[in-house]
Amino acid sequence: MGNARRRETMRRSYYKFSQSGMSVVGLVIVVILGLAAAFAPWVAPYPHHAGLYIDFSAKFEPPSLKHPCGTDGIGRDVLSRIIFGFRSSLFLGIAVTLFVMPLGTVLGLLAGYHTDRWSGTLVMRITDVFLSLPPLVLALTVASVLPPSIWNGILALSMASWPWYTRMVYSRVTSLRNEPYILRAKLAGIGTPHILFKELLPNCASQVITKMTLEMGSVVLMGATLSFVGLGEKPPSPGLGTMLADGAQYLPVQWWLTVFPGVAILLIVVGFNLLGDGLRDLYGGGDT
Amino acid sequence: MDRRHVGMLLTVCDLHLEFVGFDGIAKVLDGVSLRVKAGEKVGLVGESGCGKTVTMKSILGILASPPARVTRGSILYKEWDILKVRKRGLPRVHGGGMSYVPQDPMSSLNPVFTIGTQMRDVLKYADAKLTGRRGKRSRLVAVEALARVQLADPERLLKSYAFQLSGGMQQRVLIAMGLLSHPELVIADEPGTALDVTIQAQILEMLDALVQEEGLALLIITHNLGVVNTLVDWVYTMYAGSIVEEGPTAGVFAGPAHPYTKALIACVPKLAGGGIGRGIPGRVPSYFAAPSGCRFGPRCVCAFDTCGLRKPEMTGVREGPGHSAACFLLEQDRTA
Amino acid sequence: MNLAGFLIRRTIYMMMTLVAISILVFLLTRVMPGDPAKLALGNTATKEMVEKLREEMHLNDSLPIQYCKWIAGVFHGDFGRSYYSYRAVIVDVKEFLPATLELVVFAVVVLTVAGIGFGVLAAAFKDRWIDQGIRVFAYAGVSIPYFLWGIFLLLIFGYFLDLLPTGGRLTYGLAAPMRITGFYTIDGALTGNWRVVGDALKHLIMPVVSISVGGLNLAARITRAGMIDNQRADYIQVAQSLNIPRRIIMAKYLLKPSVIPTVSLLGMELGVLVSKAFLVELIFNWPGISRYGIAAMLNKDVNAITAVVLIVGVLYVGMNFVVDVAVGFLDPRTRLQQK
Repeated sequence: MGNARRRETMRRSYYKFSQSGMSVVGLVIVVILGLAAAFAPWVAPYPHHAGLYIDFSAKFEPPSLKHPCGTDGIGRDVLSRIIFGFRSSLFLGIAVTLFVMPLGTVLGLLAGYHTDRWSGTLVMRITDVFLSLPPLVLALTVASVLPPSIWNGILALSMASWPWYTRMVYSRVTSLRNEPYILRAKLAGIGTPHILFKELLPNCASQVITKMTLEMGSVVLMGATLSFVGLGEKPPSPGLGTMLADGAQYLPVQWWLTVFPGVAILLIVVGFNLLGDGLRDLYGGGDT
Repeated sequence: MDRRHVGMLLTVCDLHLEFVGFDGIAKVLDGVSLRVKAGEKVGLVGESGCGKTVTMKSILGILASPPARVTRGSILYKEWDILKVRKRGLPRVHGGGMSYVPQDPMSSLNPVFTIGTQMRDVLKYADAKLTGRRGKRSRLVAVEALARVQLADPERLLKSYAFQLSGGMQQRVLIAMGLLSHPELVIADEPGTALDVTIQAQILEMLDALVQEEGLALLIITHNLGVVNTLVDWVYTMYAGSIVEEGPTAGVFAGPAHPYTKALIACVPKLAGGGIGRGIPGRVPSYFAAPSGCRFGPRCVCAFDTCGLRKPEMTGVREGPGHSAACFLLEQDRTA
Repeated sequence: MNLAGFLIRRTIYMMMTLVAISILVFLLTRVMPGDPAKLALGNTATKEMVEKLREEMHLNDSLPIQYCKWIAGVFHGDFGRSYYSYRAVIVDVKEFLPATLELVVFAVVVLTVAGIGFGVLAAAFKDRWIDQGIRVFAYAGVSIPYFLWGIFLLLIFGYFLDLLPTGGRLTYGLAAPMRITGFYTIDGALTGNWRVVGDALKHLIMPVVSISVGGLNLAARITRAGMIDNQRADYIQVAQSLNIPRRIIMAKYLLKPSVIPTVSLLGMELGVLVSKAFLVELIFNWPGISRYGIAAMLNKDVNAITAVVLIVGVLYVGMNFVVDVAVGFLDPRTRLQQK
């Protein structure tokens, strides 16, 4: 009975999801980007342009058949660099999310469950303080006091992202805490870790997954901002934000140097947002 | 269009309504007909899920359509067909002639406006006689209306918000608001079921008194037979989207003709002994795949072949004037 | 009166948050590797000079003492000296802050008015072309990152169509009005210098649109969703049955309860406006505090960074406070019910 029911739920979920064309579009975009990023060396037309490569004879070429997104000041193919840029952006996003999600969720579970103890209150106070600064500013500040590298970028973004998970899981747990099945478990003497992870966590799972998807867009955006400002990874590695910043000085003549990286960032954000929205509609919301 | 509506305040004529959704089309109302005369007290009885709320909402014009869709039939207020009027024109059709007392008072008052503001707005927009008179006059009318429903300190009430009042008070406020436009028909949806039994009794008593005083017609939608028995003159029983029996309350309760009504009455635990009533075996059918023929057929102890073939018509019961039921047993009886 | 009690509680909470932020900001910026004094003086500094500067910067004291000295200074309006420009940071702040504030204030107005307005329109004309148009615009607005809006708007309106100026607050050659508030638009209006007002407004359009577009569309979407959801609510059905005309229901009965979640969410969005200003000021060459802050971060100018981040934090918390009060004002349940 369980399996049939699960299949039915999945089919129903899929139907509901596919009702919204936009959500499916989001899914498609994310999948394409993921594949492009994973297979970058094979997908990019000029993979070697992503590293050290100089060819002044081909510099500043406008978009053409040979270089669909044009070339930059040192003659590197913009399209290939964008594809590799997807790689670094998605890597950043995934790394930050993978690090922050477990941390934030666990903290939220603990704080939500132990609101009566000082540890719970302390965690929430700290979370609130971190939340009182705009995330971008927080990330910028942390990035500015550390030497620029991709790992420090990840650290900076993580510091700005974790409170959101904690706050969300916390509010979910506090509302679930007094549900009959939790009280029953407590009365039966079931230990806290089991309650936290086997009872409460699955009930937060859908919200967390939705949040993760929506956050990807924000994280990638913040990462691009960090690079744009000059606090992210160092050249010559192709970061979309760096490309944007480098290209900005050549506006408006060599417009392709900003427009295409910009559109690339846009695609990532739109893809994850649409997908996240679809998931949110599917799971019925809550306060993501 | 026949003349069944002549002299009636409300006529629902052979209403067929369905809902369109993911799981298919739910044919909820399968030919509902009922009538309310001026000054008459009518009850519409049925279990949860039988379609009585849907019927009521269609009458009031507050049913969301889509996904609801009327496929046949009409709803007439006096001589105007409500279904034919576009949403926007509806208020003008019955012009406050029909009024609604909702089931759940807690969620029926706007949470962010004071009671006074809401009542004033009803007066401003609903009652043409009062338009133009502002401020003091409408406040007086509101205070008077609140006093009529036996609420203490109406002045202070006007300045309060819904959440500051108890359930019983909210229900009274809603009744007061419903009476502001001097309606001719009051439709009450499960009046008092959201409240404690003692409060519910008070509310019902008050409703009854008001109706007598004003000479209003009352249509009560409920699943509570006790309420029906004490309050109404004429009762309709409904099952799975169609009316199965109608008639004067006393007659129907004394001698129910339809097997469903019989079973329903038998279910009620009798305070004076007799123990807990017997339930009705089986479940309400799914509207997506409703049984052909009589919808009560599958659960009926007296069912025979014809019951599954076609739907029975309302047939008069010999002993009672106006008392009729939709059952082949009666048809058989007649021809016998 | 309950409203006063509500306000007092919120104010106390805000104060506590501000203190916490100041501690956080302080800690973050003092965790820097490397010696700030040495960085400031450069490679040619001698050991004595570095030591002297360290004394002056209180770097040899323990962290809590450093914090107290710093916070005491802040209350006097003294953020220390910038180790890059050698001016007192407060002077820099006073010069650049009004520009950012002007940007943010205009954005707030645009965001709130247009956002809620679009949402109401979309809900009122649900599924007709006005609604579809607004929804597509909303998706674009929320999905296209704000700095891309900035770049695209700049490219299209600034360069290709040449309709709007491409940077700065005023056209080169036009003198700034007498400084009363620091807002060119207000100062210009106050001194009767309408040419400056018009010019300043032209310069404001693109940056304001860039930072408000995301929030605007969020507000529109949430207002629309709120209104559509609440339409099913019992109290709306009751109002309909009581013959209250549709336009009154939409404009009054549906709007107020539906706008409450929008306003709550706007709180965060408003605070974020300040952080969005960071990039937009760079793109449009806007001489505001964010641009100053980024320069400070790149130059590792500790005092300036701390000052800017603190101010941003204060603005953020301040915005949230304003929004909380607004919600309390709109929703009697929050203000009259004790938690």
